[in-house]
Amino acid sequence: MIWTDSYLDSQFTAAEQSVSTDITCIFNRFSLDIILGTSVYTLPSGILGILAVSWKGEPIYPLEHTTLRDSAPYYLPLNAGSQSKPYHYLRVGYGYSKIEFRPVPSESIAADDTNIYGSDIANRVIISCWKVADSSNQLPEFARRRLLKYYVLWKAFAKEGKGQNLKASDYFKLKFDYEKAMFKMAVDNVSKCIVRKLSSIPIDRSRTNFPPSPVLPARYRNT
Amino acid sequence: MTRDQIIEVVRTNLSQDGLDFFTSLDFTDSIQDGYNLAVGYSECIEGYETINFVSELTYYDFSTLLTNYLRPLAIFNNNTNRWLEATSLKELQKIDYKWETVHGEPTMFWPINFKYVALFPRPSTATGNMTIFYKKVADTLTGGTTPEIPDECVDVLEQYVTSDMLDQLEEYNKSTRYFKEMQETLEGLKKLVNKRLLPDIILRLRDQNDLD
Repeated sequence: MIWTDSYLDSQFTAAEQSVSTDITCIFNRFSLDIILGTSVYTLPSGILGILAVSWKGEPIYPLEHTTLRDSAPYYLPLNAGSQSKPYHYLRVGYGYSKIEFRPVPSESIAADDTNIYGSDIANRVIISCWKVADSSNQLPEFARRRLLKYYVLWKAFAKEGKGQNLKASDYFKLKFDYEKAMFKMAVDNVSKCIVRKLSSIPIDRSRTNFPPSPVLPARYRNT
Repeated sequence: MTRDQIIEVVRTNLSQDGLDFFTSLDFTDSIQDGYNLAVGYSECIEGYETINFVSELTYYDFSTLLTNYLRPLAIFNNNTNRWLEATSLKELQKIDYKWETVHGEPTMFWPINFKYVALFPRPSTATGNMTIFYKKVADTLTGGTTPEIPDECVDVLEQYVTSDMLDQLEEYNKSTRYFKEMQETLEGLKKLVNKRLLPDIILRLRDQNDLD
């Protein structure tokens, strides 16, 4: 049998990773374990893009290597290992494997992800990012089953061995592409309420048949 | 038309009346898939719910707080009787570099993805609530449930399930025919959703022009 359970399971994982990599939709936050005097930190795998890094609620700004080079005289003291609260971070290595804080952190801050979406923001160093799907961050339920099913069928029918059916594989590839395009549109729609705000025309209520709005007496108005 | 009635139509399409080649689970799984697809991508179901503010919470997981949450449309702060303004991370960072920890009555929100929405500023105490108007995903269908899809487009489920069942029989040409029909019906549903208030809005615009 060319389609063992383990093969199909691996294809399900690959499908979820493939879709969430192509269509960034998994938002994640995690805290870093900061050690006094250490500037380089290894990030968990699967990060697709950093949205924000905050140091006890204050932003740490990204710094490109080219910017660092162009501004060498200004940043030179930071390279020399001076310690304080960091103001910038650099991406180090391939992808998002490591980041380096500049200046070097002057205090230790323990990692704890318990309340990083709320009350603990002011106490931790937190990275907000787009991530690849994993067991705790999956694609939304309304699209997940179909996306994964079509991907697995596409790959399984293309596998070498008895049962290979390239026509079926091409057929399910088309279905997968359709689902993916629809899902991309749904992801883009999440921020539609912002776009609508930008394009809306102010309504002159006195000239339409909207219900009248109450007007406060003059003494309550901002003048 | 209920879920079970739609399944009967599909059985007739497949000439499966009285036969048990497909299990009832095949049909119910497939029709749920089709319902998720039609509702999720056409965004035809809207609703609203009121939830309490949580002290010191910036990022709300609406997927757990609201029923069948898909994406936000608008948020109303019942403490201040004001609508919250939809905004982006960039705009929030411009307003206050420490925006995540600023306290106050929420006036803005940042829709992030299918789960999270961030509020700015965040309430320091758990007082009052907000009403969220939002698009919904499909709920779970049972035998006697009527899918929440406009009558004009409810065929989308029959077409999806028939196509899906033909896939299992490896009848790809026949399946493609139903799948294309499903795509057309879904496009029609999306248009219907976008235009369902249009005649009323056009009348309002005309009134406004007359006054000008």
